Amino acid sequence: MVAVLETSGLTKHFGLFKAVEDLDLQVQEGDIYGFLGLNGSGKTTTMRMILRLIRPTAGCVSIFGQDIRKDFIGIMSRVGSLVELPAYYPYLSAAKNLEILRLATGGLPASRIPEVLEIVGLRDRMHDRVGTYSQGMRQRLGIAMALLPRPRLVLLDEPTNGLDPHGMNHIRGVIQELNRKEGVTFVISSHLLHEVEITCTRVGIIKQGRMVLQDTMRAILSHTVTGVRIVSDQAQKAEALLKAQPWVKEVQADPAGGLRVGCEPSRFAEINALLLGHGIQVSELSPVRQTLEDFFLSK
Amino acid sequence: MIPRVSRLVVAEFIKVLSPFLFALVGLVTLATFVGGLLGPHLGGAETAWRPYHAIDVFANGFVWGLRIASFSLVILSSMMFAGEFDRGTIKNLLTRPITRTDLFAAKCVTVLILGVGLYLFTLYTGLAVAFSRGDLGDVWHADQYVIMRPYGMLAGTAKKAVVMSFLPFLTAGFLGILVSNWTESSGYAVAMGLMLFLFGWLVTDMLPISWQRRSFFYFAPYVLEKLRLYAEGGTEHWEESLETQLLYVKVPIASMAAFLPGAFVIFQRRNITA
Repeated sequence: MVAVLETSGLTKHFGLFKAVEDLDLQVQEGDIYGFLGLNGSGKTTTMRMILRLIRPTAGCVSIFGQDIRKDFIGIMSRVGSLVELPAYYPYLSAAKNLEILRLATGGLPASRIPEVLEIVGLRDRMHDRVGTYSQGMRQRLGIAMALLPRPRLVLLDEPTNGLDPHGMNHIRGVIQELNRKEGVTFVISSHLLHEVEITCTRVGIIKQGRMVLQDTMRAILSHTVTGVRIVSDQAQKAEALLKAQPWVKEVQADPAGGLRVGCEPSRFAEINALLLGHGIQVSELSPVRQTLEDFFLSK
Repeated sequence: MIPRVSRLVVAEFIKVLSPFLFALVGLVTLATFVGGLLGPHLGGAETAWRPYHAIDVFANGFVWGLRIASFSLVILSSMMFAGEFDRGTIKNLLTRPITRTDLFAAKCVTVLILGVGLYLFTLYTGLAVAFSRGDLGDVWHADQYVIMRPYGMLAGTAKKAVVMSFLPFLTAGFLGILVSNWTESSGYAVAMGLMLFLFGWLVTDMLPISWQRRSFFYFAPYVLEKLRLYAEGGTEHWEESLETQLLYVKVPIASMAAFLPGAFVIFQRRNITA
């Protein structure tokens, strides 16, 4: 896989405050990369450094395999972004706002404006002043601005901010469709962990400016498995047997009559064999997962 | 770079052509008309022997219009960068395939075009008021049948006054560009720009004459006041050194050269946190 976006030792200090420290981020082509972190953890500062809005104290950023300092113009013609809140000229229409960015981008036909407004569901209101838009519509306009240059890489900071459930679903669909059909790579920073869980294919978790975990969503979800739930007709016998095993961390009975066994996922088959070997019938054996939120907060 | 800057200039004009600009243009028109129609009354009553001269009306109208146009240019240029920071739209622009130098150049060109446009608009409005209200020809004495100023001399002085007030007027726009990069609040930038402009204007008036000539605030009021006095038949002395030493070119260009690099360095080095 090719790294579309890579940062190496990216660092930003504001005086004595270390906003981002030695951050190595890697986004592969075709990823929908979820960039997670608490408020003030350095997500937006990282995005701004990637886009050269802020100069890093140290480290470098490569996009499409090239150092961004060396070919900023060439690289940015294939990058779209929405950093923090969408910004616009409130006295102009959405079409005029996009026309300004179309001119700044260069090489885009005027027909791209209605096209991109259609994608985000704003085409009907394209000639209305943006000052009259709702927060959700402004957010959609921000996403349209990011998608305007037909980018290969899109960085979205809290893209579903201010959207209602229908809007969130729509934007999620747009992201997934562009990723699937056109191979567009997305980097999405979000606090909405459920959104990240169902949208992203790869996740990076940043804490106090440092990357604490970066992996595929599948691998991260596997880290969230903390044990197994067993339903058996001989619960007490099973509990006593499992508690005697040195690799079992804990066994707890749950209100629904099952047993929650804390152990590594690699022991699940062994548990099943052990119980069957002692004549205990198992009617249900299912992994117990932390939510992504619990996992995220534990990091 | 030139195609990128040209596209950005077009984009700048989409932003600038707002109701606010038209309100400012309306104020310039009003000031030119008020100055042109009221100004000559302050210099003496119109008589059958000596009607108000068109160049007197023009000098009064143009100097009033140019003052408001200067304030307008300071306001517009002060908002150029600070307005983008204020709204956060600077990040939209700087994440496009353009450099900061492109954007800076485009904004300077826009201020330049706006300045030229406002100047020409004020000039033609002043001429329209002059020709609708005043007479052309020589300036006659109110009581005696003698020519005090021949028309040819007045027209030549008027041309000189128009030429000599152009670059100092444009310099006001570049002062606005500098102020616009000091702060990320457009309201604060406009307030600072206007305060500095007024302060510079007032301080220039208090300086000894040799120092006044080193300030770009000096030229337009000076040459238009002289033109007005000539058109009324006065015998004021015209400072030839302004022309012979090309001070009306050198001083504004030196001022622009002082304002622009400062603004450029601030803009290049600024972290965009808007």
